[in-house]
Amino acid sequence: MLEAFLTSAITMATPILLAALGELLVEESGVINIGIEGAMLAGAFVALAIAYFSGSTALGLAGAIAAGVAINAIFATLVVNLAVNQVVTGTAVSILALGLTGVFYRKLFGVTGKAFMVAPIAKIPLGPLARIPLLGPVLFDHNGLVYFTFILVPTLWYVIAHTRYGLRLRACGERPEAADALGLGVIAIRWQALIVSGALTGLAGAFLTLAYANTFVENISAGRGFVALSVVIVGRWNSWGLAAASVLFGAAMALQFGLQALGTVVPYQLFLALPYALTLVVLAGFGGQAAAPSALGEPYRRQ
Amino acid sequence: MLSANAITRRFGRTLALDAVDFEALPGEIHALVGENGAGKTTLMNVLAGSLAADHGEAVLDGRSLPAGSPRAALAAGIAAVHQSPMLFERMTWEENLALGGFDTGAGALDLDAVATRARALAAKLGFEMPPAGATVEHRSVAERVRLEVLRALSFNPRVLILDEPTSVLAPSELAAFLDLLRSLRADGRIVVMITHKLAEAIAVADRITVLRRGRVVARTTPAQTSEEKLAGLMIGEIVTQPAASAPPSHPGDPVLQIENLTLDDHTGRRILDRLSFRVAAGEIVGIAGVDGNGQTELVEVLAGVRRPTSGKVTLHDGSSGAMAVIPQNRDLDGLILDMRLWENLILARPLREQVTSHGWLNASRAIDLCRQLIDRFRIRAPGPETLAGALSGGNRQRLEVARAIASRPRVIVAHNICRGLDLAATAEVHRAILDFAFAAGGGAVILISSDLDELLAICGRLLIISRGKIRETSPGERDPERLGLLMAGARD
Repeated sequence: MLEAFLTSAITMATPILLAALGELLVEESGVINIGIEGAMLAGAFVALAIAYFSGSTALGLAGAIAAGVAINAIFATLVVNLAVNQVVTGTAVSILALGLTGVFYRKLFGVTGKAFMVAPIAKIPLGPLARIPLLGPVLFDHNGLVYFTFILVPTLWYVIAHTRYGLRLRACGERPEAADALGLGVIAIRWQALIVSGALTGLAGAFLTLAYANTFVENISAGRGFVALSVVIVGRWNSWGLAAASVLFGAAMALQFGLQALGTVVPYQLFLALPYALTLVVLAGFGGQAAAPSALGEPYRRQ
Repeated sequence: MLSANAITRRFGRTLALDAVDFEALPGEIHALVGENGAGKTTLMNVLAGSLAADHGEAVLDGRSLPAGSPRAALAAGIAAVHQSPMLFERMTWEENLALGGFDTGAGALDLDAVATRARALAAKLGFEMPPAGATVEHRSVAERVRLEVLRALSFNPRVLILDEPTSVLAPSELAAFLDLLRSLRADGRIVVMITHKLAEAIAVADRITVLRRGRVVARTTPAQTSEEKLAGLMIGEIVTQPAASAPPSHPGDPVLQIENLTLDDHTGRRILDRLSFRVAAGEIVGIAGVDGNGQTELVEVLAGVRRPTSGKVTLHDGSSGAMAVIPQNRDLDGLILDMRLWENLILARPLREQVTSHGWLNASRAIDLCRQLIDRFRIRAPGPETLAGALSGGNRQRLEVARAIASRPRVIVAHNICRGLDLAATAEVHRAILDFAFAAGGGAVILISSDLDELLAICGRLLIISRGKIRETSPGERDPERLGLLMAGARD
């Protein structure tokens, strides 16, 4: 019971964390991307479609990366090059992806009600580690995307806090006009962050279809992109904090399934709302902007 | 040779530079002087690549620089020190410097090596550095300027352009700094110094170019000119503005009383230490001190944005709007640069109340009010609809002073209000402050400044702040040298 719950918590946390880490990079560069939900959906759909028709999980993942990058490239063009309002653009991108994936899904698979299943991504148990009681199955018996996501946590922390690239990234998010005066190329750096984030968010979407549901339904991301946005805030713009917050939300989702399975008289919709209610409660406690990059969300345009 | 050929640049309807030709030779210190708003800073930004000119080009050693590329300008060897330092607030000073030339760009980022190189250069200049790992956000303006100067020098520039670098340096740093400029000159580099301190321009520059309203009005050398001549060229007429002087004060009733005001920062360090003083109507009290001794925090506590640890601030007229604060960092704390002039004005509650009725804003009344103040305080702006960010530094300051005085407060707290202002603007600001204090039913003024001359000129009473403590000076104490020692922390 406990083992199943914790394993499920880690599994549920993974796509949120993956998308949140991408968003962290973007926010450090001074951009807020509310369109994560859209890139996630696009990744989820393209991964499923390609994996279904080609039979290859690897091709599906590659497709998800391409889809996430493509969505973010649209966003970057509008927001970074044309300095359009970031919140409006992000919202539009989310809605665009929701509509496009729905239309393409019906076009490709028809409205038969039949689920188009794909094989889940193979698990890779990590040898003897996976045999440790409780910890083994919870932490060391997952597919490669889970390991990749959690390895990204220290990696991104190091890159942002301790490398030249991280310093330049933060400079663009702190004070773009000063970064520009130092010849840092604000536009290029923000593009790079958005491209990397697009790839990670696309993968997060692929996780939903290839590792979790093994099929696609409309709006399969179900607000996880927005949860990822709040995870960045709750995690105080620190990748370790993001990991902790993601696991918290993952646990809330896992708990929701557990409670539904118990079959109480409480309407299941209340349990469904649990993770989102938790998001609101935690944001109310962590809502301060003290740790946010100073120029977050401000379009940068030279005089 | 660095030259600007027929550079024109407009901001909206304001013509900031009008076909300006400028040249500076290797091995010279070239002073660029002019009033606030004359176009000095715009010219610097064009040369440093952070602004693209509408017409004309900048040329260094026969090669024209691509317009609007700071990276190309830096690569060509042009580094700039901005008047309000372009630092990253929430980063440590080491990180700020690593974004300049102290970082070799090869291998892993090594902040310790950056700090060592920076300290070595700082030691040569006599600059004191902040403690290791300190973020920029709590550093004083003077420390920031030092950091920005170091960062510019870290690029080992062929051309160094400095925008009003000396206005915040302590006298002890000034000599070493001017020596540095001379040694850069001796290396065959080009130093362009933007200043409104004419004595300084005459003392260190080899040649002087005078800008007025976006045009070059004179090119001269120190030997051929004088402060009076330069002032005349800058303003276009000989200024006969009498120097402001402090009439004997006849303080009225106490307006503001401060008792045992103490402030500790989040680390428990004592920033303000049991300050007690009172200010009466019709009185201008000066608080002199070297930057970073608690002045900024005192202003924040008085403005109500920071809660003191203990102690009391009593305002005898308790109505809201009884105090107006003019903070030193006008671009961050004083004005909203993306808003229009009239909108900035009515950020002050008393002025907003004047132009609203039953919760409805009467914009045309606000615009009229703004137009009156533009005239009265001689703000050089196309009109009330101009964005505050389009004004030059001096005109922004006039706008802030206008807003404070027009709010009819009982007390004005002003922090370094004339920093970076030229002679005419300084005289006008002082005149406005004196009028405010000495008019019938006049108000009280607390003037916090590191410029002793300014304080001696207009303050009736002088307090000294040093390491968060305040001490009263005797009324007759007017000897700058002795006061300077007190500011530096000497105990009698």
